[in-house]
Amino acid sequence: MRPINLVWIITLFSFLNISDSIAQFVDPQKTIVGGSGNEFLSAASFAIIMGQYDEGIRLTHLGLTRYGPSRGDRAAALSNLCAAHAAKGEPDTAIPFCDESMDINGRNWRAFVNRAYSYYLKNMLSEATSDLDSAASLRPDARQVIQLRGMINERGLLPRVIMEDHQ
Amino acid sequence: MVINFFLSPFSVAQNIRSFQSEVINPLGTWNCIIYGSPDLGNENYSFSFANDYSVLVSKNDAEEERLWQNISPWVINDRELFFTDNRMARDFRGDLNRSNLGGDWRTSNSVGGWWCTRSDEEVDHSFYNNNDNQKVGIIIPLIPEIMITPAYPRQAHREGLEGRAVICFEILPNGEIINPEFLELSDEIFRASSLDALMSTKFKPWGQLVDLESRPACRSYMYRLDYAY
Repeated sequence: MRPINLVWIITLFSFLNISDSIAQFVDPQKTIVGGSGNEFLSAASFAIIMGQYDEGIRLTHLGLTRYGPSRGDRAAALSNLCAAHAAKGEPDTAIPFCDESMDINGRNWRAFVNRAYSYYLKNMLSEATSDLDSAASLRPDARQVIQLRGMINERGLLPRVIMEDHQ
Repeated sequence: MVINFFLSPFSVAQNIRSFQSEVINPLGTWNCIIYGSPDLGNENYSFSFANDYSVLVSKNDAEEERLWQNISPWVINDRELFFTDNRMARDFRGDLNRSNLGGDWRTSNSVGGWWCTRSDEEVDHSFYNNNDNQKVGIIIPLIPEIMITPAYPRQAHREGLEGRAVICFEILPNGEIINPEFLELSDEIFRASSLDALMSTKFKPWGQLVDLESRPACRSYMYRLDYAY
């Protein structure tokens, strides 16, 4: 099987600009390329980015079980599973994958963002904010962090305007 | 030396003279810088303090004709000067122990300072303090007929930004608003929504009651976000 070129995936992702999909929280830079077994995880990541979540989940499980990925690859793959399930509107399924990913790599900001989005779907805004703060501490300028912060603020902050006249 | 400095209404000038060597006599006109808002920078105003306790204020603008407004009475208490700019609900306090008139100011949610140098400009307080004009402000208030609440800017909401805008303007006899001017603006993001809401506001006509071409007023908008969780 011919390995998918990482640069090509990134370029395609940028071009498609899938802004409304949770796939935005799956960063193609974490796609595993090269080496035995990585073709499944690469294809899975690409499928998730393209919005084919079921196919992405199936391929990720194949990549995780059929071959023995490294700890870093495994953490990234679990984070992608978390993102895919969250994108399907299954936060309860997604969160354990994020937990497992963070157990392996506690500094994976994407896993924090994915779990924050899952909590956001469950309307657990306090937990979502906490995870997002952790992600922001690792990567404050990430587009996904800023975007999800806006979504949480829109839902969790009630705006009001006080008017006073001075004559 | 501790000095009990109490002023009765009939002895203000005398008392000020008696402490002339130790405190500043605020009577007269002062060119002042009012600072404290990093967004607006320094505001340049003149204050004029009179024996009748009136304070007139005028914005220093080389391009506009000098216009004085009566803002509040002034009082001295324990070597401190107090007066209020009712238009913006800004309370001024001056320290008379200093070599120049100045001190601090505060509103409900902000603080700043002011500093003045003496001016030789003479102001006719009697013209601005006439009873008719005072009645205008007290007896015939400006009543909003249409009030529009500004929309909270979506970008500010998403970024969790709170802020404040103070706009002063003139009201025509038919109740329409003209010449809006931002006196405070915490962030540019709040400019459009504040201005849109203000210009959609209409006051009740007052032209038949008062013989004025227009009346000044200010409105503040405070943008707040409350946690829902």
